[in-house]
Amino acid sequence: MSKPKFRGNTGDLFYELIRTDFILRYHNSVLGFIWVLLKPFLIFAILVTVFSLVFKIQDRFYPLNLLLGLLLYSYFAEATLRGITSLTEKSTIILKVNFPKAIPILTSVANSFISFFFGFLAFLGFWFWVKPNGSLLNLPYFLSLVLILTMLIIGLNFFLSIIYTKLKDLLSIWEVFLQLVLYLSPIIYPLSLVPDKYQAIFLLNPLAVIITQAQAALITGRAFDWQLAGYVFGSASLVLVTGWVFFQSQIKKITDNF
Amino acid sequence: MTPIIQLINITKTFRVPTEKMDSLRERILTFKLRSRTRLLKALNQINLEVKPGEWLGVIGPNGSGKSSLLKIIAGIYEPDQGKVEVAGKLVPFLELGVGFNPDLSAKDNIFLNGVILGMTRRKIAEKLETIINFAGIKSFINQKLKNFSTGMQVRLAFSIAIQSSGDIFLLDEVLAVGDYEFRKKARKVFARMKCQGKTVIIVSHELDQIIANCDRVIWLDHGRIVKSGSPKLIIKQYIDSQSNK
Repeated sequence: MSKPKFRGNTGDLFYELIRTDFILRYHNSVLGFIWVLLKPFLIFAILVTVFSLVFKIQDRFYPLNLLLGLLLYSYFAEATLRGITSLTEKSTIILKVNFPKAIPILTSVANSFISFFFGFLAFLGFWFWVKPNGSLLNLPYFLSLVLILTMLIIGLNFFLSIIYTKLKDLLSIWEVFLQLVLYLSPIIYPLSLVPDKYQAIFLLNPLAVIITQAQAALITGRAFDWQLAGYVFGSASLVLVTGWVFFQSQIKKITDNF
Repeated sequence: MTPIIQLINITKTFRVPTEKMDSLRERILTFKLRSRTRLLKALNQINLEVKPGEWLGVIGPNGSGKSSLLKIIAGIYEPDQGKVEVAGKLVPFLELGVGFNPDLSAKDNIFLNGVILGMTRRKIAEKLETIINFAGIKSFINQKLKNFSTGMQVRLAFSIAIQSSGDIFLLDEVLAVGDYEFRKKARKVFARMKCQGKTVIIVSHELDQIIANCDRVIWLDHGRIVKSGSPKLIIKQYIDSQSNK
């Protein structure tokens, strides 16, 4: 005898939910998947034009730095925005079947990762064209940064998805917050533009660290800062673990909020 | 015989908001951080044992806690107090076609609904032909579900549901829908499940159906078990009490 639990194939459920999300997002429009790739690149084109032509930024690597920063930021923004509503969107299923509730959250992250992955392939195309100082031998370091970012996203989604079931305006608050993060991270401007005395505070933002380190690895060819990498790994782990504990303690009561 | 389902002293209360506030804006504007709620006891100290192979009927007026009871057994609701224990694989049919999406094809919906009911993708692929034939939708398999009539959707959902294997089935009013043909098919499936010695709990307002299928009936009212016993006897008393109101 045991407590009632889901005895299906969790992996299959995960796969089907990802597939469903994917089909629904892309099959219903004519251009389908292309839109998803096009959106970040159009934003990129606008920003490159504005900042290279109007503000006359001379840096040869500026467009590439901007693109990589935007890709990482879009992954963060998209995955958390989808994560917030992930439990509530699946409420009809949650109220009828008992299954591991972390699955909708992981699904939302997995789907955002797929868009990020294809965006990154396009980035590699630009990379070969510009031929920056960074080396592709640094890919393992870059992938570790992406993994850390993913941990951070999942951890945040554990909090956000639960809180959203009680406070529906969290979505609007989070959208504003994401705009703030966009301008507080070295995406449209380089880190060197931030005054030296503020840089330490500025790099408390994990996304700022991940973006600058990714740029160092793949584009500028600067040395890695292991201390900063350790800091983001530590903070992402902390968010992930506390998020999981919070999620586990709250998820039993979640059905009362729908 | 050791029970296959055991509920010990189960209590479940819901907070029913008298005014629903689910945004921060509303809370700030009304200067209240907590929404006003009252407590509703959906289930009150329920003790229940179900033996393997037993068919249990659950009856009672609307809001008496029948669906909550099934959701507690399925592990969807967490009880405030008490313990639920289940030995064996449980398949909840609290609604037909859980997770059905109108914008997906019938085939995609079969896979989606199937995994939600706990089947593996491999098993669904094996049974795909059977499901399609049983539902009688062979020529519509790649059509989007939104183009299906309600009846076709129910037939499809039922065909998927009966393919899921388990030891315990929870049925909540799922047979209240469907035409004559559908009910005939459903009766056959029931007979087969009985032969296989499955344990079934049925919540229904169709009392004839409960008399025909169940070995025992419990009568719920205001979250308590009022009576428990042989279907004919309990249902007669239930009908008398309802018509005296």
